[in-house]
Amino acid sequence: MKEIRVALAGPPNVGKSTLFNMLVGANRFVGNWPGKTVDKYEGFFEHMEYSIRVVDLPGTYSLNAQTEEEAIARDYIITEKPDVVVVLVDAVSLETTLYLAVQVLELYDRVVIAVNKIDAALKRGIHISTEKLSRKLGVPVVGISALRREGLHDLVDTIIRVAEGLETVRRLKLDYKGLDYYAREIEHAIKGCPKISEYPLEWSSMRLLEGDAELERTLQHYCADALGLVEATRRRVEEGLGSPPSLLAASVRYSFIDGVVAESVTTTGVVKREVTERLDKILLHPVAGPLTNLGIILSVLIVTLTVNTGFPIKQLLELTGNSELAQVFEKYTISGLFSSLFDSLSNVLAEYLSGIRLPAFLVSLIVDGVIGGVGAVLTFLPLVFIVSAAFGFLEDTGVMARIATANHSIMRRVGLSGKSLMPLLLGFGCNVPAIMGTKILETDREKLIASLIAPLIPCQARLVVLLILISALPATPMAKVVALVSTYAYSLLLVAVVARVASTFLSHGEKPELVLELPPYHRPSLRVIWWFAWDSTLHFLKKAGGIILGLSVVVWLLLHLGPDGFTEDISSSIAKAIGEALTPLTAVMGIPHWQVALALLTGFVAKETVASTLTVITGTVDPVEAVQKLALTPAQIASLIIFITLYTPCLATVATFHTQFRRYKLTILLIAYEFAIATVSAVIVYQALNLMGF
Amino acid sequence: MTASNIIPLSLARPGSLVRIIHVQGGRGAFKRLFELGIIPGETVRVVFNDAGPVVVERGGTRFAIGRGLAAKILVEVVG
Repeated sequence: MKEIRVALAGPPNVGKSTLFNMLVGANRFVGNWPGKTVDKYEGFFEHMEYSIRVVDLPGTYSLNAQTEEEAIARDYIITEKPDVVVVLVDAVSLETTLYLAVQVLELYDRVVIAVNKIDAALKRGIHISTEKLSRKLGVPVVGISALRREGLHDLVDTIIRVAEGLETVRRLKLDYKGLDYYAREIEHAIKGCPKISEYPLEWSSMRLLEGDAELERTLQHYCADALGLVEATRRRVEEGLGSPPSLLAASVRYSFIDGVVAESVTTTGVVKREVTERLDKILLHPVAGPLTNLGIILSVLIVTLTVNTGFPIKQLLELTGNSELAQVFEKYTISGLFSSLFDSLSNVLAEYLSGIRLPAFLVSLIVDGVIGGVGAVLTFLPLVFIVSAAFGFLEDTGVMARIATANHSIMRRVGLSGKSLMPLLLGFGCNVPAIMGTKILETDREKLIASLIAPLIPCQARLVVLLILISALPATPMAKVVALVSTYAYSLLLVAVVARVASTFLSHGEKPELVLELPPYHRPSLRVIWWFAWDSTLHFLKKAGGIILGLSVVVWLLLHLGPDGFTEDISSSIAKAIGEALTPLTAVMGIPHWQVALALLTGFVAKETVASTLTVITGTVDPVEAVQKLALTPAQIASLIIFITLYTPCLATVATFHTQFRRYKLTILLIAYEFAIATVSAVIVYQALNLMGF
Repeated sequence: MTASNIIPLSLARPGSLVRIIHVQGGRGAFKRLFELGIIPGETVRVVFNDAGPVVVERGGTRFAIGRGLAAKILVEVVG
């Protein structure tokens, strides 16, 4: 069987992942691009006597290598030289989407252009002649509807014919008029420069003239002299032709595209898009817009989080005095069902293993360590799945772009874009999906900033501990509410401050400027959303699952191994010794109790564990009682509240962060900076309250 | 056409049809503008222009452009 390697390229919102999934079906794999944070989707299918391997390149508007995605797409085409590159364009938005196609055609010849949504265009009276398009572009053009599986057979046949050399294809050469003269000067300067010569010469010289960060870096490295010439030439273009080369080149491409479209597209009737008009009038309204968007975000968050863990409906029920109802409610949430399932599973297993006379050490390791760790991983899966599905839904309908637009002015103040509001708000439920959600952000810099600040947002696990500690305060109910609200307010203030500081360091204070396509609203495809959510969940399981499981077992070992080997008693374990060693540190924030230090240590596994550890080591049944038994002063409790809210994110969050960026330095930075902020804040709170006599 | 017809996009009235005359910049976010076809000579319809980003429509596609960028795009009102 002959193998054909196909790369799928296309701008965002053209239905590229739909086409990819329709082609390869279940035979797909998700991974990462080597050394990058971007997901890589690969799959294969068989047709006639061919095995066709498809790589789904990241969705990009161009091949300028301004973003990680663009660099990946471009490098793949250049270094892997796929047998065929399929570029997807959108029939409804042909001009804009043809821009990428033109850039690919300038770089590569074995290309097939697929015009997607040809059916939707027809409904709007847009007739596209693929024959004329093909003649103008120099490569085969096929009209398809990926969602309805129309034209796919034709597309696959065309791919095979191009791969077999049965179709005439040619690389596109545009006339850049005045620019060509300057580009040729660069051509002479860079000729023979290693690395650069992997690209077509006239292509790279034009790209350098336009300003291409990646090519400039290569040039700096191998032929630094030429770089000076490139910069000088660019300045001469601006002086001589009155505009930057990047604008002139884009204008040449667009006038070519305008010509192509004018010849191959005929429009009958008036193009009307009432749904988009009407919805945009609400979602982008200066007052109603942000409110409606916030409403959408909050309802999505509440639904996803409530189904999963009961938060925040459960807490609301408790506050209004319906604690019994709250209990029942929590029991039937996904994580409630999971945990009761795992409880009975470990009970049955423990009984069986003890029955076959396995040593207590092994029973505990398997039941508490391994099964406990597996349970911790599994309880995250529904959350990741539901959140991914919700994000997929918002992206696919076109609502996400509006949310990003309406909130941009607010988020810009802290150096982030409007889109970042969505993942950050998820952090109130759980930091894990919040960090995963930063993948939707446009730039690497923003993904990193948002992921660094997300763990400062108090998640529901921390809320549980906060509520326990606050209940233990000898104060009026009003004062308790004030304590809770100020804790949240303080964390959010820190989120804003750290975001600002991080964006100053990472982008020299340059605020993100918004340039965003607002795709027409459309009914979401459940199939597409399902794929997206399923793939994200599998990816999380494969990547973060192992880390979470491994660390859970390590912590189990610390808690169950002591100087005399295996121990059931936590107060004779290595963990206690570590807790005692850490006591000087907690003493700085006014709490010289090894019990607290140990509880904070276990809190690294999952924040809610702080409460259960305190109960176990104080020999009490109720966490509030445990806190009282330690006889902490209000100043000490307040210090603890602040520390727990801010300190080192839990294991799952750290694992997710590390899987996303895969750089130990960054992971250590995250842990260290949160620890530092938490310690400093706790010290200040303790000293201030202590001085006031609390 | 008098010179007073030429204004920054950030001041264009919603519903008006404007032709882009000049863009003051060529790096970073401007490149993305060019890639999306917001370039001199092109005509766009201003859909929204209130407090937030300016929303324009070109060839059946809508774009949101931050106010900072919109202030650097000079347009001529044509309708």
